[in-house]
Order: sequence, then structure tokens, then C-alpha cells
Amino acid sequence: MPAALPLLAACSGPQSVLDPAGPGAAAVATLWWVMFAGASLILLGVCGLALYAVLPRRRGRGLDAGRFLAGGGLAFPLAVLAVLLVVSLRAGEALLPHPGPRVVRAEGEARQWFWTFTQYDAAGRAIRTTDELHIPVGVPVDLRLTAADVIHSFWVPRLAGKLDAIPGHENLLRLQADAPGLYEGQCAEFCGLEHTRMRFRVRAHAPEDYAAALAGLRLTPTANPVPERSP
Amino acid sequence: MSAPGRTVQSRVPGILVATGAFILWSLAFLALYVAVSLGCAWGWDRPWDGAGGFGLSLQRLVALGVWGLHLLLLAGLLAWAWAPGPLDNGERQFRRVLAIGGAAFGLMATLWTGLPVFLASDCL
Amino acid sequence: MNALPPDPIRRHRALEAIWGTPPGLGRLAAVNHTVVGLRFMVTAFVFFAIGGVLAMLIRAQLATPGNTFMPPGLYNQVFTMHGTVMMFLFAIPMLEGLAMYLLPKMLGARDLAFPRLSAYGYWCYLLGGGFIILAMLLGIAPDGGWFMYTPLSSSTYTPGINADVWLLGITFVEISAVSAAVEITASILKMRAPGMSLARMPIFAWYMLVTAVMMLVGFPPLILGSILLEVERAFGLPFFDPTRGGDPLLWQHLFWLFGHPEVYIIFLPAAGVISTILPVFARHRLVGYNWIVLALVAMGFLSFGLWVHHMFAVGIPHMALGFFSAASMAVAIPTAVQIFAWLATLLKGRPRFDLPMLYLLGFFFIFVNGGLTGVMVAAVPFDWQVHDSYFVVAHLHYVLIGGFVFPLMAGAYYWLPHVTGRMPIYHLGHAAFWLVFIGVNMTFLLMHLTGLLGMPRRVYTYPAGIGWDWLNLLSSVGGFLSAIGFALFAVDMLLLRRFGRRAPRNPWGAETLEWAMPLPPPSYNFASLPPAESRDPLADRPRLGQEAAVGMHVLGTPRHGWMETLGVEAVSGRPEQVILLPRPSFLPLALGLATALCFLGLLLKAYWLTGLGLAGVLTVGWIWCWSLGARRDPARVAAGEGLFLPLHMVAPAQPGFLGMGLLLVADAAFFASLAFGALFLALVAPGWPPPALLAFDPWLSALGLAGLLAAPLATLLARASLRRGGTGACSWLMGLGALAGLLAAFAFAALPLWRGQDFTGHAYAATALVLGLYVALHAGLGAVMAGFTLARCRAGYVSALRDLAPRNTGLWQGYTALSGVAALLLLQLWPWLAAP
Repeated sequence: MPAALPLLAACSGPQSVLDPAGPGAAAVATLWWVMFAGASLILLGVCGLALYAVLPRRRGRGLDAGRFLAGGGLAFPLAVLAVLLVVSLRAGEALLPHPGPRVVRAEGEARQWFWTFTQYDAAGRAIRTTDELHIPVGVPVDLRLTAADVIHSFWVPRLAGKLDAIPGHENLLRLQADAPGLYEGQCAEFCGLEHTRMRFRVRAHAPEDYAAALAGLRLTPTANPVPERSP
Repeated sequence: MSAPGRTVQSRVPGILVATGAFILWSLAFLALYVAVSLGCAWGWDRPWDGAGGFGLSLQRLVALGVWGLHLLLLAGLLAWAWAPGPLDNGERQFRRVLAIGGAAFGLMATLWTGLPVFLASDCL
Repeated sequence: MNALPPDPIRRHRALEAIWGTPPGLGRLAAVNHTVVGLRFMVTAFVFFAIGGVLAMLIRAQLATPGNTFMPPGLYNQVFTMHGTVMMFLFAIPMLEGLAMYLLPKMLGARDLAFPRLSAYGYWCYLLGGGFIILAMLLGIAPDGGWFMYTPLSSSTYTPGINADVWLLGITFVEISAVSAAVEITASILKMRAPGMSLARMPIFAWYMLVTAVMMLVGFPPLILGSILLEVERAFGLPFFDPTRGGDPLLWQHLFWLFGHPEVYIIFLPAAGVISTILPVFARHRLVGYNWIVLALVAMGFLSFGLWVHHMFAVGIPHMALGFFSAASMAVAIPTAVQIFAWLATLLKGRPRFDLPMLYLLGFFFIFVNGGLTGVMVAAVPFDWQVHDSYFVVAHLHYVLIGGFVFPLMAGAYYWLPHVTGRMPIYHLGHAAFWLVFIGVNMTFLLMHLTGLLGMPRRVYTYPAGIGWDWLNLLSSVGGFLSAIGFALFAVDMLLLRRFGRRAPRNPWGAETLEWAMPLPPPSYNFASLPPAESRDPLADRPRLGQEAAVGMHVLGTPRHGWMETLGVEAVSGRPEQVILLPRPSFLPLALGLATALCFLGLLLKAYWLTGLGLAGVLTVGWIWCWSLGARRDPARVAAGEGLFLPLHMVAPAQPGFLGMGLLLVADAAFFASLAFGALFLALVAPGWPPPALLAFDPWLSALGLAGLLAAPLATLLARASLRRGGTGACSWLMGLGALAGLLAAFAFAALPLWRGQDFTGHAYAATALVLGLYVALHAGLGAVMAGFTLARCRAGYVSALRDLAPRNTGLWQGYTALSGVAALLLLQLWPWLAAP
């Protein structure tokens, strides 16, 4: 992985985990950079030691093997892993859809090979769209995921991690965007012949524009029709 | 002693000496997973009145109980394995190392895998 | 033991006449572990080449955005087959073959415990693998991913024969995995050099012991899942269908309950290769033997607590994910113990830089890299991002190439003189190393970034401009580099086999027993079985090989054409019995063909063919078992070095008994998975509680229970009467046991069927049917075994001492009774779980 360092410039992209645009994705990106730095050091250390050990003239033949094993095999990984376990569970906790007063709800139903999203306007009326989810910026959105045929997975890397849409189950995914814009997503669970083409978007609107955007969707007939295909 | 050098441990089948602690770890792991799954299916995750105002759910209490019980058992196993024994003969030393090391590792692993009970939401 | 003078040449001829594989068509009857082990490895390498070609097709398709080289349907077949071939037809059989080839030689034995079983396993592997490859050539290869997630793989969404090819072909191949696991475990525990206690075993044997036990417990969940899915597809019984009380997540649990231990099943033997080779080139004995044994046992257990980390994104509660995340991180510790033990061995030694060392250094870099990314994906929130992205593709290839392929390539050069009697020359081997090393890193290091940039797995193409283009192109170039490297490696092996210079005995100065024999090894391994007085027998007595060749040690005198090897007490290694192994035979091939017929019938939905196959399996099985044993109690025999030992058929702890016990361990794992599935459905699946409960007839239940309990009881009584000296009572008691078994089989088959239920409506009824049939099948087989024992009693093959048949029958019936009682309890209590 150290060889990946010069590539840092190439970290942005419409579906890049490393180019976060929401608090959930940002927390994971931070976690990645910390783990990346730590892992690179450990890799260098272990491989350095292995290379050092095959040098013809070197020290270390009087090594106390018991201490070396207890230190390198037990104590060191235990310490590193303890930190990682606590940090990652804490981070994971922050990404969960904890109930809250400001949470906006929406629904996504997957089928081969498109998504039907349902968002609600202020009056609670459902507005259905295909392959484009509309959310307000700066507030948590809980997306309820279901599937009508096979398993699919909702993944918009710049906003949050992925969560599967499984027939017979309902899963709740917390999304939040920091800025208005279009965020690309792609089905991440292999779902058959056209899995590759199952792309979709999340469009985040500034809070003041959100109501207007939804109203516009209600008036645009093209946003509504859901192609009916029986499985 | 009638048979010099025989210890309590040497009467236990070797396979248990080496694996007993890990079997306990497996039981603890399985019991924790089952307890959490059952609790979520049966709605044990709400704060429970019996918890004495700590705001703990019945589920978390059950998980803590399962975890604590296995930790106690493993601590007992470690104490048992530690009982003094001779280190002269290669075979017996090997058994003793397996017994102590296994118990210590099993205890550590059980302690470790139970940590999420404190750190994670139970049914979210 | 002085029937022959200590002339090694005459001894060799006499032994070769007994142990050699017959020429010509007789090769199909081969059961020798050297022959079968090499067949496994060569076949696995051919499958590796096929999987490699598939990988290159994938890289060709993905090299540029919007590529139209392959249409999506074909691409799906290709990536499915790549994973399937590499996992099931390359990695697992390769490690089985390696273990079969090496273990008896390292342990100081002449063959494995059940040579015919390993031959049968090989035929199952070859025929099952052949099925799958044939289907691919016909264009009907499986296309649902090597993980076959339902509902995509159900008949609704994959109506063709493709998925059936996977389910039936892989189950067929898994027979060889389970039989190899039984074989390897029993051989390690019972068949070692005199005095080789567990504490003195070569470390590789410890690795394989843990691996084999893991296989016994790890494969049954997959076999169960495959059977259930095939039954759902073929007969409409729902287990995974969410609209009828099934749950697609059950498939994922069963699959990964196998799938994660599988990773360690693949890694551990390769790590065992490292622990064997590295000390030889470090010129220092392995540091931390005890630590490593403990770490292995720990890994064996911990690896069964990781499976849900493949399911972090399916919506399981965070606390439950936490347990699996913690266990996934914890498994890094026994791995770290081994890595540091290897480092310590290198540091304390005076490493000699030979070609195998180069591959080991490559291993260090690639495997540690894969291990570190493994710890990363164990962190739940990070996994939510990278799961099913190319990051995971990179991770798993680092682990499997680093943790399996590199150690095996080191092993290939290390044992080349052993297998072929030729020393490696290093020109091509170096070039192959650098091509593979650079190629693999170029392909997969970059793939981490591809995944982080958001590219999901299993897409057949991608649009330009997302930042994935140059990464994929470079990955493809790297892929072709490594493919050239692997081809070079294969060429090198062939050339060396032909043109390498002759290897002297023990060319590397190793200290394990496989080097105490002439090279290439004779079919009987050791002319006499050398003692193991420490962990490094050749270090204490460098001339052990020559001593063995002149017959100085145990069983040095061939007699009666017997294929003799030594059986020891499992822990202490004290000589206990002389095991007479069965001669080469066509029965394994016949049984393999009959089994193939069963599977072919299921695949083509020509069930009469399956019936024919089953009849064949039973017939050949009967002949097979009948051909072993003796008609009178043999006396103790001289085994050399002052030992007088019983022959195995009258020894109390003969391997056959252990083998049955191990088979039942696998069977119990199967039943436990089924019970887990039943409970899981009741708790988690949608559509529970079921619309109607089955009404179990109390009379039938009582009848079944009575039959189940009576059968083992009759066998117990029969054995008691044998001990009193009569065989007459034995016969009619076994007959009674057979009747009781038939009764139980009938009752359990009828239990759910009694009222003409509809089993296709809800998973509850379907699962109840499977539980009932499981017990019925076991009771029925128990009846066949009791009948077999009866016939053996009457033919004089059974006595108080020669009691393998009644003991194994009793063991089987006892297990059947236990599982039957558990199934009855489950059937009563289980619906209540869904609605307490």
C-alpha cells in the first residue's frame, strides 16, 4: 500500500468513498486514512524485519524468542486492535438511523434493474420517482429499503455506506448530504443480467428549495411513471 | 502421590485440555449472538423496569449475564490449568502449555468478543 | 524379523511387489497415497490454469470502459466460474493432495488410513469438476456468482440448468472434501512413526489436523444449503423464498458458515508449508512450536465466529455485528503469532538464500498486506463502504495468493526433488517469481483504489470518466504479467522434471521424516518404519534413511503380501497395532461412477437414473465393506525391534472406528446446521408463524421413537453376547436391530407425510419434512448396516475381538437415535418460537 501514496491526487470522483459529501461518508473516510497510515507502518515494519533477517551480517541471533512472540504476536496487535475496535464501533454507532425529531423519511424499492423512490412533501403526500432520490441538504434522511424480486444494494459512496434491499425484509439507511448536488449511486449486490446498468442518483436540494423541487416533481409527469414489470 | 508426577490435569483427555477453553469461547459467542437475536425478535430491547433505574434493557442484561458467566467459567479453567505440575517431561510439559495457554487465550478471546455489549446498540 | 538378509535391493523389490500400483489399466485401481496425492495436485493445477484463463477473460473485458468483448450473460458465467473453479476445484483439492502426498511420509507411515476412500474422493472430484467444466464448454455454466445468493439463484430468476450444475456439481466435489477430512484426521491421529507423540509431530501435521477437523465441521453447512436450494429449485419446497416463509438470508448464513472457515482451511495448510520450509532455509529449528500449535487451535475455533462479516450490509443489529467484528479482529492475533514465530526463526538462524526463500519473502509482503486490509474490513463502518467493491476483490486476492499460492510455489520448488528426484535450477524460477510478484501487485494493489473510487464487484463494464479507466487498464496489464509468470512456472516444473540434475538424498538438509527415503519415493515410503525420538528425527540420526532402507526398524520384513503399517496410540505415539491396508482396487472408481450417476439423474431430472445410481452405490458399498476383515482372530505378530502387536482387526482402537466417529462429527454438523436453519426461519423469516401447523400422529411418533431406541439397544446386546462367546445371538439381535431401524425409517418418513400435507406452501412444512426425512434416511441406513453385520456374523467375520461391524453399526444407530430425539423435540417446540 505505500505505493499508493502518489495516487492521493486521484481520490476524488463521482463515486469516491474518499471524496465524502456527508457526515456518514466523512467519518468512514477519516477511519480509512487512519487505518491506511497504521497499516502502512505495520507492513513496512514486518517486511523490513523479514528483509533484515535475511541479511548475511546482522544482529539478533541472541533474540529472546518468548518475549519477541509475546510482544509482536500478542501485545502489539492486541493494543492496536483494541483501539480499532472501540473507534470503529463508536463510528458505526454514529451512522445508525437513531430516531430523532428532524429525521426525514423516504422509501426505496429495488427490482431488476431499477429503483422506485418515494419521498414525502410537507403535506405527507407521496411522490414517486424512478432512479432518482430527492433529499434536503443538512438533515438526516432515513431511507427504508425493500426489494421486490432479488437482493439489491443501495450504495451512494459519497453520502454513506451501502445497505442491502432484501425481499421480505425492511432495512433503514441513514443518509445526509452537506451540500446541494447530484450524487451517483450504483447497485452493489449482484442482481442478475443487467446488474451493471442499475445506476441511480441522489439529488440533494438546499432546504429552501426542497419543497419547490418536490412540487415540481408532482407536476412533471415524467418523474412519476414507474414501469411495471412483473418478476 | 501414588503415581509420581501425575497431576489433576493428566487425567483429562488431551483433546479437552487443548480445546476446552475454546469450546467455552464458542459457547459464549453463540450464546451472545442467540441472546441478541432472540431479544430483538421478542422485543427485549426496551428499557426494562427490573434494571433498577440504570436504563438497561432486558436484552443487555441477559447479554451481560451470558458474558459474565462464561468469563467466570474460563477464569476457573485458567486457575485449574495453572495448578502446579512437573515440567520435566516433554509430553506433560506440552500438555501443561496447551492447557494454560488455551485457557488464557480463551479467556482473553471471550473478554474481547463481549466488548460490543458495552459499545453498540442492541437492535438498530 | 530376519527372514530376509539386510539387503536393501531385495527388500525393495519385495516391498515394491506388494505396494506398487499395477501398470496399464491397473492404474485406475490405484489407491497409493503418493499416486492419489499427485493426481489431486496435478488435476488441481489444471483447474488452476482453467481458472486463470477465466481470470484473463475478466481482465480483458474490464481493461477499457464500455468494452463489448463479452456480453453480460457470458461475463456472469465467466466470473462465477472463476470463483467456483479457484475455490472448489483448485484450492481445496490442491491442499488435500498435498496433505495426502506428504503426511504419511512426514509421519513415518506407509500410507493413509483409508487408501480406497482417498481414491474414491479423487474420482468424485474429477467427475464433479468435469461436470462443471463440461457445462461451461456447453455454455450452460452457473451464472449466479460463486456465492449463489438466493432469490437470484432460485428457479424464478434463474430458470435454466445453470444453477443446478453448480449445486449438484459442487456437492459432488464436496464428497471428496469430507472424505479427505476423515482420512487426514484419522491418519494423523493413528498412523505415525513409533514414539512420535503429539508433541513430537512435525508442525505440518498439526496444521493439517486442525484443517481437517475444520473441514469436517465447515463443509456440512454448504452441503446442506446446496441440497435445500436444489430441493427448492427442483421440487418447489420453499426454504429461501420470502413469499412462502423462507428467507434468502438463511442461504447467506449457511454459505458463509462454510465460506469463512474455508478461507482458513485454505490458508492453514499453506502456512504449514511455510512453517516446514522456512526453518530449513533459516538453518534454525522453528521457534515457538507450542505457540504455533495453540495459535492453530485458536484459529480453528475463532474462524467459525467470523461468517457474518460477509453480511455486515444485510441489516443485522449493530451489537450482533459487533461480536463478529470483534472476532474478525481477534483472529489476527493467532496469525500475528505465526508471523512473528517465522520472523524469530529467520532472525535467530543463518538464512540461506535459495529460490524457495524468495517465494517466502514474496509471501510476507503479499500476505501481510492482505491481512491488514482484512482487519480494515472487519471494522463495520468501513466495510459498509467497501463491501462488494473492488477493495474486497483486492483484499481477498492478496490473502489467497499471498496465503496460498506463494507458499505453495515455494513448496513446489522445495519438494520438487522429493517428487521427481531432480534438483531445481533457478533461472526460470527467478523470472517466474518476479513476473508473478510484480503482476499480482500491479493488478491488486491498484484495485484497492478502484474500490475506494466506488467500483462495485461483478459489473461487466463501466462508463468512462469516473476515474476507473487507467486503474483497470493497469490491473489488466498486471494480470497478464502474472499469467505469463504462472505459465513460466509450469514450464519450469516440466523442464526440471525432465532435465534437472539428480537429487541426492535429503538435498536441503531437512530434519523431517519425508527426507529419510530414496528420491523419488518408493511406493511403500520406508522399508522399515524409523522411530521418532524427537521433533527432528533426522537431526538426531542423519543416517535414519539408510537405517530404514536396510530394515533396521519396525516392520522391516515383508510377509504374506501384506500391506503393513504401524498404528499408534493417538497421544503418546506408542505402537499399538499393525494395520493391514487394502490392496489396489477398482471399487473406488466403480463407486465414483455410481455416485456420478446419482448426480447426473438429479441434474437431468431423470430420477430413474438416480435410483439406478443409488442401487449401484449400495451394492458397491456392500462389496467394498465385505472385502475387508478376517474370518478368525489372528495372533499377535512380530513387528521388529522386539514389538509384538495385534493386527488392526482385533485391536481395540482401530482406525475404522475412528473414521466412523469422524464421519458422524460431520453428520452432526450437518444436523446442527439444519436445526439452526429451522430456528433461524422461525425467528427471522417473514411470514411466520406458519398458517397451519402439522399435526403429528402421536402413535407414529411413539413408533419412530421406539424403533430409534431399540436399534442401538439390540446392537449393544449383540455385542454383549459376542463377548460371551456366541455368534448365534448376535445374528438374530442384529436382525432385530435392522427391523427396528426399518420401522423407525418408516415412521419418520410418514410422520410429516401422514395427512397428505402440502409441503410447497410454507417453509415450516418443508423444513419439517426435511427433518423427518433426515432421521428416516439415517434409520434406514442403520438398518442396512445392521443387515450387513448380520450377514458378517453368519459368515464368521465377527467375533468378540473382530467387532468393527457391530461397533460402527451401534455408533451409527446411537447417533441416529440422538438426532431423532432432537428432531422430535425441535418439531414440537419450534413453531412456538415464532410466536411466544
